[in-house]
Amino acid sequence: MATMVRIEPVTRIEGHAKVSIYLDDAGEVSEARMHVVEFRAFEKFCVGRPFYEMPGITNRICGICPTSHALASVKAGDAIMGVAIPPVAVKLRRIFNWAQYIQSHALSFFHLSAPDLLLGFDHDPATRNVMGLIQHYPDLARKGVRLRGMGQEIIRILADKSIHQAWAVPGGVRQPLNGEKRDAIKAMLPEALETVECALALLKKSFAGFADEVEIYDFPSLFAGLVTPDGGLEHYDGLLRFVASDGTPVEAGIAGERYRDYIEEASEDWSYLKFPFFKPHGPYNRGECAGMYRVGPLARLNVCDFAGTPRTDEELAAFRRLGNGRTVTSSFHYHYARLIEILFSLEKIAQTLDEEDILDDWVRAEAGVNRLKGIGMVEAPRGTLIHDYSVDRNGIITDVNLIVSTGHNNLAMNRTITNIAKKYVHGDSVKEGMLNRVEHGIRAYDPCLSCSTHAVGRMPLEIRILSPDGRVVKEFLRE
Amino acid sequence: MIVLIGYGNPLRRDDGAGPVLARMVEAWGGRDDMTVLTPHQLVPELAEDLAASGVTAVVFLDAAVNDREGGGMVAIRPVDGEQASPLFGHHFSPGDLLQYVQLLRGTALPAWQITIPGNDFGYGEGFSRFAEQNLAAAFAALQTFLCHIPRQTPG
Repeated sequence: MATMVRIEPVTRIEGHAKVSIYLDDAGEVSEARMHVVEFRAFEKFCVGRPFYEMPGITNRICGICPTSHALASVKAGDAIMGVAIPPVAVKLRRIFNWAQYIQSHALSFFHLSAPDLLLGFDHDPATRNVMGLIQHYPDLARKGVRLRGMGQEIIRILADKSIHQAWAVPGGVRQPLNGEKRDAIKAMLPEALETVECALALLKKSFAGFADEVEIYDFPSLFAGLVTPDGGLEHYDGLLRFVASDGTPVEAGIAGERYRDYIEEASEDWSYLKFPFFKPHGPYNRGECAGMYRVGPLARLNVCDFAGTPRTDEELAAFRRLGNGRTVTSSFHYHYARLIEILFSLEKIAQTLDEEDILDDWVRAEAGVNRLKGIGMVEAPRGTLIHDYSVDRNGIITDVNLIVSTGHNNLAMNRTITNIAKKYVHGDSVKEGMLNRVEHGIRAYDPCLSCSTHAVGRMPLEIRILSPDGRVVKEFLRE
Repeated sequence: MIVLIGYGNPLRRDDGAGPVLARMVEAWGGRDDMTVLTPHQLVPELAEDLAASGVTAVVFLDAAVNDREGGGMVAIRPVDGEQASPLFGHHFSPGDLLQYVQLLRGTALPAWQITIPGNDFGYGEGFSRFAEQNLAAAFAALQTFLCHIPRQTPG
C-alpha cells in the first residue's frame, strides 16, 4: 500500500506550506508535492476599487516585498493614465527597487539560508538558524543583519516608511530626493559592499561541501526574466525574455502587454498556488513539467547577456563557469545569484546617485484615465511580477490578474523537492537532516507564499462562520 | 540610556496603541536618558540599536487581545530571550530580539514588556473605548515605572 510522509510546517520560508511525499508500494518516492494552504483572494476583492488605490492595497499583500507590488501596481497605473513618467522619477523608482533587493536578498541569505549553507544540513537543529550563525560567524551575522537594515533604511529615506509606503504613485513618485538624503544613502554603501563581498567569499568556499545538492537540484528548464533592450540585467523595466537551458533564446524580448500570449496558469486541487507554464510549450502537464520555467535571481543571470557594472560582471563570469559557460541550471546556485544581485543593486545605486539630475524636483506626471487596461511588470527579488488591471472610464477596477514571482517557480519547486525526496527518503523512516534537505530545496527559491495565493480558484472550500465564543453558526462546503 | 519601543500597526485600530503610548511618554519628557522608537513591528536590525554601548534597559510597549492573564488590565512584565523561538517567521517577539541582543552584547539586557489590552483589531484608525481606557492606565503606570528604573552606568 502506498504511504505518505508529511513535513509540516516548512520552517524558514515566508508564509506556510506543507510537503507531501508519496511513497509507492516498494517504499520508494513516486512524487513530492508542495501544498500551499494560504488563501488571500486579492484578485477578487480589488474589483470595484479605483486604480490609484491599488498600490496601497497590493502593497499589503506581503510585508517582505511590498515595494515590488507597489512598483508593479504604479506601472499598471502609469499605463492606464497613458503617461511616460519624468526621467528622474524612473531613477528614483529604480533606487527604491534596488534597495528592496538588498533587504530581501539579505534576509533570504543571512536569516533563512545561511544557517544551512554555512553550518551544514546536519548541524544541531536547535541552533541551525540565525542564532547559531551569530555564534559561529558573529561578524558575518551582524553584518548581514545590518545589510538588511540598510536596504530598509534606503527605502525609508526615499519613501518615509520602510514598509507599506505611499511614495510611489501612478505618474511617478510623491517627493524628490534632496542632497541630505542622497548623501545619507551614499554613506551606507561602502559597508554594504564590504558585507556582500565577505558573504560571497564564504559562500563560494562552501560549494565543495554541497556537490550532491548541486547535482540533485540540477534539471533542465526554461528561464525567464526582464532584460534591457540591449540584453542587460534588468529589474524595473525592459522586455521579458525566455531562454532554454543552454541559454539559447526562445523568446528574445516580449513587451509586457503580450505576456498572456506566453504565460498560462493551471490549477491543481491540492494547492492554492497556481502553476504558470510557458504556453507555446503546452498544454499543461505537471508530470512532464511541460512549459516549466524558472524566474528569480538564477533566471535573471541566465537570461541577461551582461550586467553592466564592473564587480557584478566579474562575478557573473565566475557564476557562468559553474554551468556550461552561459547558463547555470542547478537551483542550488540561487543563493550565489542572490548575492550577485545585491552587489549589482549596490553598484547601480552608487552610479545613479551620482547622476546630474538625481535631485531634480520634477517627479510626477498628471493625467486621468486614458486607457482601459494597464499592465505593470517588474522583477521582484523572487522573480517576474505582473499586475494586470482592467478599468472602466472612471478608473474603477473591473478585473485584476496578478502573477507573482513564486507562482512562476511552482513547477520547478515541486520538481526540486521530488528530486531531493527520491535521493534522501526511502520508506517512512526519515532523519532530521534529510527533512531539512527537502525544506531547503524549497528555500533555495526563497518563495513568498503570502504573495502567491491570491486568486479564487477551483479549490474545494470549507467555510465556517463562528460566533465570538467559538460556536459554529453556519457552515458551507464546496466540493 | 533606556530604549522605549512602542510597536504596532496604526491601521489596525487597537494594535496602534503601542506607538501612541511611546509618543505620549516621549512628550512627557520625564526622563532625559530615554530614546523612543516606534517601528511598525520588531525586526532583527533593532538588535544593533539595543546592543549599542550606552543602552542599559529596554521597555517594549504593545497592544494585546484582551489580556486574560492580566484580567484585562495593563500588565508590566519582565521579559528575556530564554523563551525565544530560533525560527525566523512572521512574528518576531521581544524575546527573539533580546536573544539577538544578548548574542551581540555578550550579556542579557534588562527588559520589560507593557501590554495594553484591546478588543478591536479590525481595519481602521482610532481606538476602542476599552483600549482608550487602558492606554490612559498604561501611561500612568509607565510614568511610575520609568521613575523607578535606576540610572545606570553602562556596563
